[in-house]
Formats: sequence, structure tokens, C-alpha cells
Amino acid sequence: MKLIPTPEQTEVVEYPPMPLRIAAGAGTGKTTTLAMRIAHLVATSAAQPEQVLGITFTNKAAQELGERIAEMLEGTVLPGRDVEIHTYHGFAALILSEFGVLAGVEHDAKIITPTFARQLLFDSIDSGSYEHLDITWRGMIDRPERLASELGDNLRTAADLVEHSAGCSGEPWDERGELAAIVARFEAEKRRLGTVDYSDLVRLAYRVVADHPDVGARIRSRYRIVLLDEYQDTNPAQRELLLKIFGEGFPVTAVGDPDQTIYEWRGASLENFAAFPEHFPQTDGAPARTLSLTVNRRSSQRVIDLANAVRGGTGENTGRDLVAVDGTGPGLVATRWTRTAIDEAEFIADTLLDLRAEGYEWRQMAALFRKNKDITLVQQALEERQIPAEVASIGGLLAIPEIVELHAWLKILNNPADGPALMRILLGSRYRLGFADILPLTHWVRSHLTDQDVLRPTLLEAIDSLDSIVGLELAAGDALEVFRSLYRGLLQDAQGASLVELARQILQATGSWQEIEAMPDQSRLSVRLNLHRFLDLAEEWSPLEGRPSLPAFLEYLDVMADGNSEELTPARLSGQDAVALLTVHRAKGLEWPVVFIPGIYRNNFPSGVRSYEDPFEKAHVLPYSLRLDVDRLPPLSESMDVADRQAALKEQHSRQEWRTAYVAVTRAKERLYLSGAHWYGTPEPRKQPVRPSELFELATRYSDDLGTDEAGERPQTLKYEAIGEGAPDPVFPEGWDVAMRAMAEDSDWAERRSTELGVSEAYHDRVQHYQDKLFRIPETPKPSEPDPLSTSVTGLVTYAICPQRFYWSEVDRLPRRPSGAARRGVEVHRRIELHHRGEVPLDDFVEDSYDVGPPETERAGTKPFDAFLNSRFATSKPMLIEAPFDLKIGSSTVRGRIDAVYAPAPGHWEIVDFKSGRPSKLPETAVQLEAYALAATEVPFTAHRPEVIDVTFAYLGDGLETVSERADVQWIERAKIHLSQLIGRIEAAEWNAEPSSACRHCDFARFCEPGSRWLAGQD
Amino acid sequence: MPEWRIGPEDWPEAIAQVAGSQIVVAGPGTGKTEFLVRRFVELTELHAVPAERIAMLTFSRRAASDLKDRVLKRSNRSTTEVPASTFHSLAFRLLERHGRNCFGWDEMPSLLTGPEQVALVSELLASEEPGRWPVLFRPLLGSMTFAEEVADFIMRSREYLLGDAELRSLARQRDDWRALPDFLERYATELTRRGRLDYGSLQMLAVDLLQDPEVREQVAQQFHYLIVDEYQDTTAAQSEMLARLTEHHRNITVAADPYQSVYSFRGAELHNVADFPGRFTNLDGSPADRLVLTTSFRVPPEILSAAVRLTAGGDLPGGTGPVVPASHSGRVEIRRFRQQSEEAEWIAGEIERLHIEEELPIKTIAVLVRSKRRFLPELSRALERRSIPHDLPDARLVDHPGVRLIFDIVLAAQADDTTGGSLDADRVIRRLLLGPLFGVPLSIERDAYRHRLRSGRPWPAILEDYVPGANALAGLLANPTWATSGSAAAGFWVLWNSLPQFDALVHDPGRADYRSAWSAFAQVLSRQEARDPNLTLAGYVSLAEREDFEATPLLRYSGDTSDRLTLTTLHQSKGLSFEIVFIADAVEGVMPDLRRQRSILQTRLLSPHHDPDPLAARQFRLQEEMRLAYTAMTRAARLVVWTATDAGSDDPRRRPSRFLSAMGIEGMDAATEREPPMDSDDRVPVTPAEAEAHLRRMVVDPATTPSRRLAAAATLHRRPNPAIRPVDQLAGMRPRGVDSGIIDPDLKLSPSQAESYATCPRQYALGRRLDAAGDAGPYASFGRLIHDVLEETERAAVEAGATHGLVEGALEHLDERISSVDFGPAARREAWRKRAERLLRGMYEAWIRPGAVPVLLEHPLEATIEGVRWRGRADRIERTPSGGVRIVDYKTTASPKPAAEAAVSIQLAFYLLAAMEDAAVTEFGEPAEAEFWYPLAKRKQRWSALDPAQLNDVVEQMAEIGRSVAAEVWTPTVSAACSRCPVRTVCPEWPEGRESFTR
Repeated sequence: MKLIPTPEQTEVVEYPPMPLRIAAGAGTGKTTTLAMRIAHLVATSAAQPEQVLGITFTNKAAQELGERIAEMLEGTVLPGRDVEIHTYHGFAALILSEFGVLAGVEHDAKIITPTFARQLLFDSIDSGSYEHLDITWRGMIDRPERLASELGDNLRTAADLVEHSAGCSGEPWDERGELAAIVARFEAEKRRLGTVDYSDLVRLAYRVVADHPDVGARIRSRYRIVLLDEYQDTNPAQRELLLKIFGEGFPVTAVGDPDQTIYEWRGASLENFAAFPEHFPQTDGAPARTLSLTVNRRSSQRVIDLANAVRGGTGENTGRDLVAVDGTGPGLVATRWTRTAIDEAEFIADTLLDLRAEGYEWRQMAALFRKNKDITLVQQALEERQIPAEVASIGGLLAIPEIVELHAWLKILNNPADGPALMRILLGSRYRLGFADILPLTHWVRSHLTDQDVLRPTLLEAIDSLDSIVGLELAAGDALEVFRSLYRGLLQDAQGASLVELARQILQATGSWQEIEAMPDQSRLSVRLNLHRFLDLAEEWSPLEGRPSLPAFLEYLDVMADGNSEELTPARLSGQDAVALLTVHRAKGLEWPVVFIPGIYRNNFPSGVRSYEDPFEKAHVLPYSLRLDVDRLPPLSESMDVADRQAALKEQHSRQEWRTAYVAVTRAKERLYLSGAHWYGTPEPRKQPVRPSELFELATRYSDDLGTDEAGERPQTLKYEAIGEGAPDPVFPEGWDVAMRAMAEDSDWAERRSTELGVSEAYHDRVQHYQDKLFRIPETPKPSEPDPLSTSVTGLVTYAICPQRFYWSEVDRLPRRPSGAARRGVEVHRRIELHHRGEVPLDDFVEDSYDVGPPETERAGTKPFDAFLNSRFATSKPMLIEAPFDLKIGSSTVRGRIDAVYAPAPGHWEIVDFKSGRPSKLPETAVQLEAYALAATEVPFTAHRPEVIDVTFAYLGDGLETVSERADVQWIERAKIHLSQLIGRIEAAEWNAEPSSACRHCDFARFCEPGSRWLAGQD
Repeated sequence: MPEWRIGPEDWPEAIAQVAGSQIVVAGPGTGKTEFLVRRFVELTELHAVPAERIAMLTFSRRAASDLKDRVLKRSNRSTTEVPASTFHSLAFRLLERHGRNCFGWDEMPSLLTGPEQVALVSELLASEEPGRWPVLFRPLLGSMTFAEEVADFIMRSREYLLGDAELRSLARQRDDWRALPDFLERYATELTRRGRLDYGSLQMLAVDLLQDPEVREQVAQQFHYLIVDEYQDTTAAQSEMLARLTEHHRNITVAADPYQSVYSFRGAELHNVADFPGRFTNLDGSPADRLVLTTSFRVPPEILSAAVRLTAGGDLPGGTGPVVPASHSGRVEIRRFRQQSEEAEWIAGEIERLHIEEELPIKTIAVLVRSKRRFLPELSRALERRSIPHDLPDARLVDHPGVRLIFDIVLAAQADDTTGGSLDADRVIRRLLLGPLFGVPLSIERDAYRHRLRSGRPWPAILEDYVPGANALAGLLANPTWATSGSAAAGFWVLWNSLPQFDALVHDPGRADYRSAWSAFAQVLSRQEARDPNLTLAGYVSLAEREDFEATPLLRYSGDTSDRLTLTTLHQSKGLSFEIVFIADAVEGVMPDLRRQRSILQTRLLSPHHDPDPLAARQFRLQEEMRLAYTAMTRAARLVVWTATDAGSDDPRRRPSRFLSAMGIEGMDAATEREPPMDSDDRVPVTPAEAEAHLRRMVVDPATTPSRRLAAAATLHRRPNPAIRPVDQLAGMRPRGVDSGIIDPDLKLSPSQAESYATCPRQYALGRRLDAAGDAGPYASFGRLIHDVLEETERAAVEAGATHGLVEGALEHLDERISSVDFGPAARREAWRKRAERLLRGMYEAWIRPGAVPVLLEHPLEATIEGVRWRGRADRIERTPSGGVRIVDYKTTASPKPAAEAAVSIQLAFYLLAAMEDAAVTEFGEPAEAEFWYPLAKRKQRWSALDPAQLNDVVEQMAEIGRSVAAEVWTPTVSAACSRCPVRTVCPEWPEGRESFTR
């Protein structure tokens, strides 16, 4: 479909490459317009695709913008050419990866996640001392975290704050000083570890370009056009960084919707969008132009009417109202006020069912919540009606039973005192112990308590000492025995394994993957999906070397499970056909044909002020004078009354809440349902019913009223009963598990049941069918044909000495003794080769060429190489020296290297192997000469093959001693047979130990039972 | 220039033409390397050229060894060693042989590895006079990143054969390079002084050496023929070396595919291919022949055309033009996933399926990635789970758990243990004890640690006394000279031989990877000893702890060519071929990798062929990445599967690579289509595990016919395939254990127990009866501490006849006691101390209920209600001015219960009730009041009292609780307290408490 641009879009698209601000209302086709603008600029040769830099807030937005531009550019430029799109953080990281060293950041510096930063912050708290702060409070960590992030948002460091605070005392300065000290330690720790966190990225990138204007110029020279997306959500630090690089008239296009600024509380600055024309003036100094997009292509008329009304509450006058496209249907806006939150959840669930019947897909519908806690009841109502739902929050992940189980395993491996986690496993589906089975363990623990217990005995220790537990039922004992061996194995593996590795091992060892595969379709898919999500969490949780990762990860999960920490990033939904349940904040940038907004009651949505972030009262709030956007902040001053300051802050908060409402409302394309109830609070209802909020009141003026129920009496509890068991199963009315157990006792059970049900014939058919199928499946995959053996002469000699020794040196290798003799041997060979040839090759196979004889003690003063120099070999010219070969015996290959071949007469070869030690008494070493002699007859070392072959060992360890033999045809024939036999035995994997005097010098003797016995017998 | 397009039928003729200079330009799978191999065999077998008169050169060691293997396979007879080597290796040999004469070396310098080079540069930079450097670089002279850049600059300038003069002239044009020529000179001097040689200089010196006519003469004698593979990857220095080596005979055959040129970052010059014919003229001056192999034997049209689309057209200098695809058919697929782990699982599952179902040997499959740091560990785990053999490229040996445990022993031996408080030593030793080497049961480890904490004795002593079999370890720790003196290899050997625990691991079939790691580690140490015999094992360990330390891959049985999956990078896949290739983790930012790196020095501009325009540079990088993808795709003969994540995580780089759309192929989302339908007859499960799952699903699926469900159940029981697990091992099969029988007939209750039961019976049973609700944490310790301090303070006051103690005394008692409570690090203990101080000041600076006189402290009370005995202890009993007796319970929380709750408190009711019957109390008057005191609370809320009028109701409630506990009713109560409940994960009332796997 080719979009016909509206006139206002056309104006944006064709605006020349100059600084430009676009105020784009919700649903006005911002991304499309930007993409068209880029395509236009590329088409008019204002820029090549690679010279366009786009910066967005999230990866999802980056992806969308990238794809849209690619679509627009299709046909204009070659595929694969693309504009450059980053997130704001990503852009800063990019600058640092190139130029970070200029700000003291090494290129391998690791970017740590906010959660890991939190861990460092935790350590920084512990390493301080405090006059004023109370660190026994668990949520205390939020305060330095908040301060650190505000500092980062404003390009400040703890040192700046300390400097600023000089001379100030009393509240909140005393606490603030201590918080600043924590942040300072945290900063120092990050430096020490060579890491940066997200807020450092922008600050340090800014340092680089601020201190090195030429670097800014170099970055600038790569681009012709810059697009800044979601500009209303940027913080001052980001703006300053961009300004340093792209100020002064560079064609920067900033797009945003100030009505959708909902991240003020984490640094987004209204100032950035508002003052863009002045911050980024044209080259002539005039402020940048502003163009608006107001034609909403997303929503129906009634949704737009409500959205415009909600904008009225934001208190900003930022542009014209949204206008619907001509011909848009009216759509639906409806309100519903029920008695209890459960009624509300059921209203939503039932409406979803109706809409589904009307033809909507599940994935076209979503419920958006102001607060995470409100999700649960709706989720349960959906679950009860078997409506597939996707909950986009970590808190939800940790409530999924299979993940709870894995989490419990991680916990008991980390801390043997974690009773609840242990119970989760022992009472869980695999062991199914009862309280009575646990009690004997408790007794064991109690009987092992002492007064001075520094480390209390635990139930896990009791299980570990299972044999001394009295009073256990037999079956429970068996189950615990199974658990114990599993636990012991995992505990071993947990030592030194990475987190994700450990998680995997747990899933593997407990057979969890198998169990999941055996679940019914719907559960299986979602469990697998969620488990992978958890593993990804673990994978991303990669703290630095040497830090205990498991405790830190578990701590992080605890924090997330608390549900207090909001997840900031927009959700990325799977695209599966499921209703999305998520918070408004996570829904930013998404849209659905049908949207529900529940829980619209007073102080919930719009939410009340939880705490006034008054910098004159709260130590963790950055003083406004250190903020770069002080002009747009509520006008607070120290001289004001606290209540007046709070009123100003409340006003600021309220506007942001209305903007949040605006975002929520504009997510809907066709239908929008707003709801609330009298009674909230789960499981215990509030004491009083709640009242509709202003937002709800406003909505009622634009909506169909689907009903308002009476408040009635306060309900007893507000909680979903556990999901019902459902109708009895006609095949296994007693429960399938009970039936399966019955089958174990009674092998005809299934058959009888099939007769009762009148399906016995089909039953027998099926049994036969399954039997056949199963027989055909191999127990283990068929091993493929092994490749022919490839070994070395050294290997064959080793095998001849002792097959077990070969096994441990070549097949399943064990460490070898660092051998001086071997090294000397190599050295002598090198020197002999140099002597003869004047060079030695670069040898990749040093390991294979050490002397295989037993290491011999050297007599003092005797040098093997001197022995060589005094020998007849030194003065003869060898025909071959260090001659490598690959000898084929049957289909096997034997690598080797002949030390030297001398030719006493034409056609007469003397093959010499130099040994740096003294003569060996081991006949097996003869294998070496057998291989050499055979090689001499088969390998084309020279144009002519030898007629007469002598084989010689030259021992240089004690003067020269030679042992020589004539290798005639029969000798060689025997050698060949012998070698083939050895190879055959290797190929047949015969690894029996053959003890001999060689055991004395065997590196593996200690692991070899026969060898040890033999050695013991010799003493 | 003569160009021959060679179809399959022309091969014999083309191979036979052995003399002169040729370049074989070839597309993927057209048999380029095969051509070279056959040329070699032709030379040795038909022309009887001795193998050592031929030099086969290629780029990497692995390619060289592949060449060897292929020659061996083709000739299939015994040979002298095939002379295939790398350029570096040849250069080294030349220098070793002729360096003495040409450069007057006494001894061949030893090679400087990359990391060593960076270390040297860094050392030299640190001692540089900053004034010589541009201002920008002055602060960077101590930085490792900058040292890496300079080392890279050195390497590249050598590869471009830039002499001192040329470098100086280049540097005159660029201010940022001005200090470099001088520095390079100083570096070179230092290198010579140390007797070392870096890889860049190795090539440059080899070229220098060949300037000498005498050397050239000798070399011509030695090598009559040169055969060179992957010519498109050669650097300027390498092609110059070839030119000089062959000057006398010009017998040289090179093979190249410019489309596979992917090493510009290592200095490869794309132009070498186009320049070859004119540069390597035959002896008669005629240009070299260009033999173009046109027909691919491997790559089918579907794969080839997708790969060509991906490179986005544009012929490269010296390219072949269109390649004729192989005649069989193939396929290219794209799969998208939400998460990386899902992607890995799917690939592993697919490989398993292909292997079993289609009987494809695993070694005919490869998984290729752009960056080996990212995806491979994940994939490796998924493969392991399915027992698919594979090797991870370049896993760091020092990260292997087997080697880590060696490190742990060394670290433990060095830990300063004399003070008895070293947490690190504790951690390391406990890790060792629990780990695979010792495998000590938890109870023994905890016991040893307990003794250690109590006694503070050093670990060796603890180990000897409390850990059976750990004497040898104790000995090693007590006397660590093995680690701190002598060579690292010798130290390891001592360690290896001292611990009998290694025996079990040596014989454990499941620990083969440990053995492999140890043996590789011993070899590494052995080589280390040859380089530096003074480095001790302790020294080695501290060296290895640094990041980016030597990434020695695990060595494996050298002859092992068994059926293993190839897992490697796109770059390293060059020259290999497979039936099926997965190209995984194809996400934007990773592939194409367009990052600009180390551009502070802009080293790439050393090459005359590089365009300084950033746009051109970016396009060049993109094109090279496209060639890389092209190269990877064309490794496959049948199937290419691209996989990518496009959602799920917020990693900035996870969106599918632009390459996926450039191929013009529809992608498929997720991997669900592989799910076999429940009881399909056409889709057979391929593994026993799949079959088991399949049957189990059928048993529980109400939508399936009864006959099938029964048959599935019966089949599971009969286990016709022994790889199926016995039924009683499946989740949900054991009968549930009973929850009753945990209460003695002689039941005793305490008020706090009753309150717990009143809150939730299930939590009570788990927490108070089974002790399974976990530690109460610092708040409980704090409460005990405060009670102890108050009792002590008040006792003194009672003895002194005062109405209450004084804050000074209380604070003294606090200071005495607090050190025995474990509050964690000093800062936390101090914070808790302050909190205690606040509480005590709240208590004493404005006494909560003045006027009363304390009479009993920590007084035990008893009562019997409906036959159940209740027991408790009153914190404080005092006589009020009105003559009555009041029982007080201290609460250490800052947030008091509402007064209405205190009015009906079981605890207070019990105190009052029991006190009325207790003679020791009534002696002081009639018990009439019972209160909670909250010294930490706001002034107005510091006390709240029982309402005696409601006492009977409360007692009735207590009786009811007594009955319920005795009857063992453990049904959970859902209330607001659930939000803090520690055992919610075992509570059937909550979603997280539901059973796993049985829905």
C-alpha cells in the first residue's frame, strides 16, 4: 500500500536539511514520515544512506525505524546499504569504543548492566561508615542509586556534588554528604574494575568530545543528517553530548511528543524538546523551525476525542489537537464500574471472549495497567477462561512453577540453610514428600544444635547424613536418597561453574527438559518460552571475573520479585496469539485494536504522589542548581514553605500522570474499555471502597456506560480460588497418576479398562503400533564410521611398551612429567640437524618427537652432542636428515621422522636413530626401527629405493654406543606384520596394562593398578 | 592476458600444464584447492619432483594441515611429509637458514607473540618522553588500548613493506603519526637487543633476505615449484616474497577467489589477485595464465543465487564472473527466534534430527558465527545436552573447571591464613572441598567450616582433623613451596602427584574433559618452562588471572577425526565444505560488523588502497562483510539455515541482520513448526526422549481417544525401549506423602506459636514445626540482642531498687553484647548498633510508663487451656502505682500493631491469664494489665494494651487453636500476611506454589 502523505507530512518530508523540530502527536505516523524524509534526502543526493545517523530510545524503535527506511529506500539504493541507527546509549558506547581511551576507558572496558551496578553499589554501601544514614533499611540502596543516576543525567560526578555541598550542613546535607561518599566509592570501584555503566557511557562520551574537538569533528564528518527520535525522553546529558557533536546548524531533525514525556522521574527533561530551536539553531543563528504532525492514522474518532480531552489535563500547550483521518470509523469508548476487582477482571475476561467471538485475535487485544500489582487478578481471570495471556514482567516470570523450581535449586546450591527452597523441591512434583517425612530431618537438626552455633545445622545437612536419620518411612528414605545424590552431584558441579552453566546442569540433571516436553501443548510452549527467558536473564548476568555470581544473581531476582522495581524498557512481545498484559510504561510505542485500562480509581490512575522528591528535604534528590534543565523544573526555593514546595511537586507529578494517561488512551486503535471497581486489595480488601478518579470521570463524558454496580458490603477476601480441577476424566476417573501406579501393580489394568470402555480392539492396535515405533528408535544415535587410525611412530612404540600407557598418552591424555631428558633429546636432535644441514625446520610437532626411551640419568661431564661430534656420523654426509614421512599401513597412517640416513655404499642405507640416553633394555623400542625400515622401502624419499638396509640406534648418553641390525626382506616382512598387529590392536581399543620394568619410568604408574602392583612386587 | 575458462572436462589438461606461472581464479566449490592438490600429486607422481622441492603455502596452520591431509588422501600411498606450511613458517625457515650470513645474527631471534608484542610496546610507550608525541596522545602513553593500536600500526607498516624513509614521508603528511617513525625505530632497536622478532618484521626481513642474489639462487635450488592457496588473502609483503622466491623459474600456481577476500583487517590486499598476471610474468615475459574454474561442484543454484544477491552485485577486480552452480538442488532458510537460548536449542535439536532422521554424519554439518564470543557457549550447552560431539574454538583453558580447581589449590596455598580470618581462603577451600576433586559431603564441609569459624585455627589443621582424606591437601597448604619456587611445570607435577583424589577423576568416564584440560595444561606449563623456567606456578596463576590471557584451546587426541560438529567463525570456515551450514546469531551489529575500531591512529590508511573518506571506508567494510557471508553460505552443498533473534532481549544489537532481507527469502518465525502433532502417524519421534514425552502427553490429553491414551500408558509401563525412563521416575507419579503425624500427643503451645498459627496454619507447620521457613534474618537477631540488653539493664536496676535502668548502663551492655551477633560487614553492624541505640534512648530518655516498679524480669509463665499446656516468658512484670500488676512485652519494631489488635492479642491474653495463676506474680498484686512497648515507635504509639473485657473471647480463640493444632489442620489462610510469607512457593493457594510439570 502506497501511503499518500498528508500536507503536513509533505512539508516535513521536503523540508531542507537544516535543524528541524517535529512535534508529532500520538499515532500521527512519525516513523513513516521520518523514513520518507530520509528517502527524500537520499533521493535528492543530500546524503548517502550510510551518512544518515538515526538515534532512538529503544532497540525496538531502532529496528522499526531501520526497517521502515529500508522499505522506503528499496529500489533506490543497493540492498545491504543502510542508514546507521543506534540507541542513545548505544551511540555513546560507540564513541567510547573508538575514542574512549581519550577519557581513560580502555577498549576492553566492560559495560555493566544496571543490576550489576546495583551490586557494586551495595558493596560500596557496606564499605562506608555513617553518622546520618540508616543502612539497616533494606530499600536504602535506592537512594544512592537514584542520586548516582541523577548525577549521570546531568554530567556530574560525586565530586561535583561534594564540591557543591561544601559548607552546607544539617538536613538534608548531612545525609547527602554520606550518599555522595557512597557514590564516590561506587565510581572508584567501577574505575578499578575497568568498567562503565550506562550513565557513564554518556558522561564519558561527552568528556571525549568536549575535550577533543577534533574527535567531534571526525564523528561529525561521517554524517550528513541526524535524526533524534523520542527526543522528549532524552536527558540533559544526552542533549549536551549531541550538541557538542552536532550543534551549530548541523541538520539535526528532532522528533518528539512532549505529551508523551512519561519518564521525567528517571531523568527525561522537558527542557530538551521545548528549547530545541534555541539549542540547535540554524547556521544563521535563527532558531530551528518547528513542524507539527497532528493527523492521527491510528485511532478511531471517539478514541481521539477522549485523547484530546486527556491532553487537557497535561497542562501543556504544546500544539494542536489530534485530528482523525477522514472516513475513520467512530470506534468505541466504554466505561464500566464493578463491585469488586474480581468482577472487573471477569468483565475484562468475558469481554475478551465476546470480542474473540466477533473475530478479533487474542494478540489484537491488551490490558494496560498503571501498576504492576493490578495485573495478577486479570491474569488469573484469563487463565481460568483459558485465554492465552502474555505477562511482560520479570516478577511474573518468577511465579511460574517450573521457574520457581529451578530458582529453588539455585538457592539451595547457594545457601544450604534455605529451608523454603528445599521444601519447594521436596514437597514438589518429583519427590512429593509430606510434612511427616520432613519431621525426622527437623529432629536431626534440633538434636545437633549447640549453644555456640556459628553456622546452624540445616535440613540439607540432615539429608546429607541420611543414614543417621531415624523414623523415616521407607519410601521417603528412598526419595531422599535420590535427592541426595542429585544434590551432591550438582553441588560439586556448582563449584566454579558459570551461572547459566549451572542452571543448565540443574535442568539437565533433574530431567526438567524431559518433563516439560511431556506437558500438554499449551503449557509446554509457554513454559519453554519462559524458561528460555530465565536462562537469558542468567546469561546476561555475567558479573566480572572473581565475583561470586550466584549470590548476586539471586539477590537480583529477589529485588525483581519484590515488584517494587519498575521495569523501564518497553515490552517486546513474542507475537504469539495471546492477550498482552502489561503496564502503561511498557506499552509505550505499541498499539492494539482493543485496549482495556483497568484500575482507574483515585490515587491509582492518575497515581498519587508516593513521596515528594523535594531537593530541600530529600538527600538523594540532586540539588536543582546542579541540574542542567533547571529552567523547566518546578520553581522551588529553600525559602518556600514545605507545603508550597510539595504543591509545586504535586502539580508536576500530576501533569506527568495525565501524560501517562494520554499514552495509555492513544494505544487503542478501535475500542477502548476503561474500568474500575469499588473494592480493591488482594487478598485482603481495603477497609473502604475506592472512588473513580478524575480520569475515569472524564472518560465517562466520552463513553458508553456499560454499567455501574453498587458498592455493597465489604467482601471477605478478594482472591481467585485455585484454578478448578475440571470435570472427571472418563478414561482415568481416579486420576491418571493413580491409574499409572495401579498399572505398576497390575499389568492387565489398561487392557481391562479398555474392555470396560469398549475400545479394546483399538487399544491392542495402538499398543502394537507404539511398540513397533519404539523398537525402531535406536537407544543412542548410531555412531558413524570411525576414520582410519592416524598415529605416530612414537605412539606405536608406546603401545608396544604398554597399551594402557598409550591410552593415557594418546587417547585419553593425562599430564606428563616435565622431562629434562626429553627436552635435551629434542635439543640434541636440533643440533645434529643443524650440524648436517645448517638449518632446522619450524616444527609444529615437537611433542611427538621426544625420545621415547626411559629417561636416563646423565653422567656428569658427558654431553650427548659431544658424543655425536666424536662419532663416525659427524663426519659422514647423511643422505637424509630429519626426514619426515607418512607411512600407510593398511588404511592407517603412521607419522614419523627418521633422524638420519647414511649411505656407506650406493644403495646401502644405514638408518640411524639418535638417543640422548644410554642403551635401553626394552625390546619394544625396536618398533621404531621397524617403522623406519618399512618407511625406507615404501616412502619415496629419493628417486631410488635402498637395496640393503641397516638400522641403528646410536646412544649418545655415555659416549657413543651403537646397536645395529641388518633389515633384510624377511626382517621387513616381520616388521610389517608386527606393526599391523599393533595397529589392529589399537583400532580394536585394547588398552590392557602390561606391567614391565618400563613401569618404573611411567608417568601414569600411580593410576595403574596392575602397574602399581608390579612395582610393589619388585621392592 | 590469456584466460582459460575451465569446465570439468578441461581439468586433466589444465593440471598437466605444470610449468610457468598461473593463477587459478575460482568460485566457491569449483575445486580450487582440489586443483592445487592434484597439481601437487601430478608433480610428485608423474614428474617425479621430490616433495621437498615443492612449497605449498597457505594462510593458516589449519589450512596447511588440511592441504597435507588432502594430498595424503588423494595419493593414498606412503610419502615423505607433504611440504605444506604457512607463509610465516616459510619466512621463519628462510631466516633461520640465511639470517646468520645476511644479517650477521649469532642466533636466530625467537618469535614474539602478539600479546608479548603489545606488552613490549606498552613498556616502551610508558617510558617515552611525552613531549615527542602529539598532545592528544600524551595522556595515552600508559594505556593498553593505545599500546595495542601502536602494535597494530607496527604490524601493518611491516606488512606494507614500509621502510623507514617511506614511513617518515607518510608521517610528514599526518601530524598524528609524527612521533611514530622514531618510536618504531626505538622499538626495533629494543627488539633486536632482546633477541626477538615480531610477525611483521618476520615477513619484512624475509623479503629483505631475498634481495640477496645468492640467497635467491639457493632458494631457487631448494624450491622448484610453489603452490599457493587463498592468494586473495596475501599481504603486500607476502606477495612480494612469492615474487622473489620464484624469480628464477616462475613455477608458481596460486589459487584465489576475490569474493572470499575477508582479511583486509589483517592486511590482505585485494588487488594482489588482479595484479597477479602482470606481476608474475613468465620467464619469457608473457603474463601469467588465468585459469578460471567456472563450474561449482558443491554449491547448488538456490544457495549460490541467494549468496550472490547478498553480495549485491559489483564485480571485484580479478573476479571470475558468473559461476555455474552445481546441478543438484539446495535450499536457504531463515529462522527467527525470540531468544538466544531458544535459537541455540532449536539449532541443536535440528542437528540431532538431521543426524538421526536423515542419517547425516555430524561432521557434514557446521554452525558458523560472526563472533565467537557471543553465541557459541550457549549453543555448546544445548549440544552437550543432546550428546552431539563438538569442540568450542578457543575456549580459554584457564576457564575450564578442571584447571580452575588447580588454581584454587594454588590460591588457597598462598592465602595468608595465619590471621584466621581470610574470607578468600575460606571461600576457595570450601569450593575445593565441595567440588569434584574432593566431593566432600555437605555435612563434613559444614562441620569443618564450623570448626574453622569457632576456633580460628588455620585450614591445614582443620583439614587434618575434620576432613577425612584431606591430609595431603593439608600438607600442600601448610608448605606451599611447590607453588612459590621452582618452575610452574614442576610445581604442577608435585601437586598432581600429591593428591590421591586425582585417582578417582582419572578413572571417571564422565570426566574426560577434565583429563584433557589437565594434560593440555601440563603441556602449556611445560612450554612455559622452556621459555621461562623462573616463573613459578603461583606466578603463572596470577598471570593467567588477567583477562585476555592466552586462550589455548583444549588439546584433544591428535589423531581424532571422529564425527564432530564444526563450530567456528565465518572467517575460519573459509576453505571448508559441508552438507549443511547454520549461520547463527545473524543479528544487526554483529553481522555485518561495521564497527570502527582503534581508529585513533587510523592505521588502515597506511595502505595506498584505502580511501580516507569515511563513507568509502564504511562501504568497504560492508562489502567485505558481505563477502564473508557469501563465503560462509557457499560452504554448504545442500542447505543453509540462517538464524537470528529479533525480540526478547533488550540487548542493543538484537535485531535480524540486514543480510537476511537482502537475500530475498521469506523468513520463518520461531521454531514451533517442528512440533510433532500429538498422535500423528506420519511423524515418528526420532529419539527415545521424544517418544517418551509424546506418550506422556497422550496419556494426559483428554482430547485424545481413550484407546490411544490407555495404549500410551501401557506402553510407558512396558518400556519396549530401555532408553525410556521407568514410570516411577516421572514427575507427578509418586503418591503424595502425608502431612499429619507431626504433633506429639503431649502438645505444648506458646503464645507466639499460636499467633503464627492464627496467621496461617500452613506457614506455622512449615516454620514452627518443621523449622523449614528459613532464617529470620537480622531483625530476629536484633530482637534477641535488645531483649538481652534490656534484661541485663533492668536486672541491675531491680537490684539497685530503681524503677528502671539508665540509658548509659544500657548502652554499655549493648556494646558488650553486640560483637557476638552476626550483622555482616562492619558498616552494617554499626548501623544496627545505631538502631539499637535509638531504641534504648527511646526507652530510657522518656520512660514509656513512668511510676511502676519492676518486680520480675524474663519470668516463665504457664497455663492450661482445654488440656493443652501453654508456656511463655514475660519480658517484664511490674507493680503499678495503683497496686496492680502489669505484664509488659517489648517489641523492637518501629511500626506498632494497631491498638485494636493489641486489645485482642493472644500473647498478652496468655500473659495475663497465666500471671493470674502464678503465685510468684500474684504475690505482688492482682495482674490486671498486659501491654506491648514499642520504644522505636513514634511517641504516641509507644504502648498499646490488652482489653481485659475481651479476654474470654481471646481465650476461646486460643482453645480453638489448641484443638486445631492437635488435629493437625494445616489449611493455609490467605491474608495480607501472604505478601511477606517465606513459604509461599510451597503454598497451593498461590500461583508460584503450584506444582511444576503437572499442569
